[in-house]
Amino acid sequence: MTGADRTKDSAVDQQLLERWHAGDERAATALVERHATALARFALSLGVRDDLDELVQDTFVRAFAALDSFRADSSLRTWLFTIERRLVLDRRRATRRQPEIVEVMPEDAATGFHALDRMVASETEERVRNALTRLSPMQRDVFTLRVQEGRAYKDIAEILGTTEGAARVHYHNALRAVKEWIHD
Amino acid sequence: MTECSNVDMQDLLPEFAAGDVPARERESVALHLASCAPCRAELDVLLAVLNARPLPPVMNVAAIVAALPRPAVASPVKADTPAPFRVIAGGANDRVPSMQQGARARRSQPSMFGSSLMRFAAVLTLVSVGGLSVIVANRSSTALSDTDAASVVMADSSYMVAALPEPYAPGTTPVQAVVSVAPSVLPGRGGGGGGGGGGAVRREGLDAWDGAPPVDPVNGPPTSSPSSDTVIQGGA
Repeated sequence: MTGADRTKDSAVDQQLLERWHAGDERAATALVERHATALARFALSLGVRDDLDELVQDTFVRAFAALDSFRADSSLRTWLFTIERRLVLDRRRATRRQPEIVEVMPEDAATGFHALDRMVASETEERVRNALTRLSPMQRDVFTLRVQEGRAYKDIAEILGTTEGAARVHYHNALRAVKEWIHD
Repeated sequence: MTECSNVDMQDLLPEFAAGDVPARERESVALHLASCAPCRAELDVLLAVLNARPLPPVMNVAAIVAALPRPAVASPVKADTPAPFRVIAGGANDRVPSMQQGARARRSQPSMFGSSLMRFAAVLTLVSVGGLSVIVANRSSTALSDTDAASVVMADSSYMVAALPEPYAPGTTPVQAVVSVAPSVLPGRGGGGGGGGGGAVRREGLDAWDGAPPVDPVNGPPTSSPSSDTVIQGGA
């Protein structure tokens, strides 16, 4: 996404927020439609597989409850990503305190459909996914935000609580590693 | 394979892979890619990562919106509605009108004393000072040294209490004096000159006063008709 597109996007978000503040609840629907998919995708890239709907909903609820603290100097999506990532980290911390119970359900069995699905999935995609899982959490977050979500280094630094320079270094290290692992 | 040294081009590659680069920049990136093998290899990796992007499930937008808090909308205030004024009785929550509104309100309120009354009091004060000046100017000839109070009749229709040189003390007898200024001594009335300089001011009958309460010189009629001469009347 170019700088101009980002500015235009931020302006649209700002208008929707103003409408919501004025009591127009349709603006909330428009905001959710604009960002829900990106939030779900980012959650997947963070390794979230369960309760994705709930996570995205919690992110929006928390964001709308704290809209007064939203500063317009960053984009709404960047702010939403920041909130969602914090929620993911909180959940992981809470899960670590509980004993892990894995229930095996009938639908988890390797059915013919799943096997076929895996066969159809390209080998390159599998290699990429495997390579991403081998990255450090910070490298993976920076890399996916930069490549898959098109966020600028400034936004990435804000979302991940780091500096722009550090984000740039993490990106280049991740790129080099992924390139090497894909061609292994 | 060596690294590319063109940092600007490297920075644009993720956007180029996603198709988010503007047309003019897209051409320059394409030109660079044609001559830079490391960047082409990097672009291949980026395209593979993009293609491996997980497909998120379809979100239930209505359920998310239903869970959102409602906006705290302030009660609409019409801009043309005048701000209500209330008596401020010390309550912290009472609405205090702005200074401008207060000034407007104060201007519209009736004054505690009628403006005509205040004007009359101002005139009275001026005339009192003027009358006292007349008396002081003629003191040598009228011998008013023992006068404690004086009612002065100026010309035909002006009445006033001229002066109370000392505070009234119970047990003492005030001296009441009424001064009439003849038209002849007023400026422009028969060539008497200014300040009563040409008028004959004489003291008469002060010792013969019968002690009757004087007529209010302000609200009542004059105790004596203006005479042709300036007259001081009174008694002790």
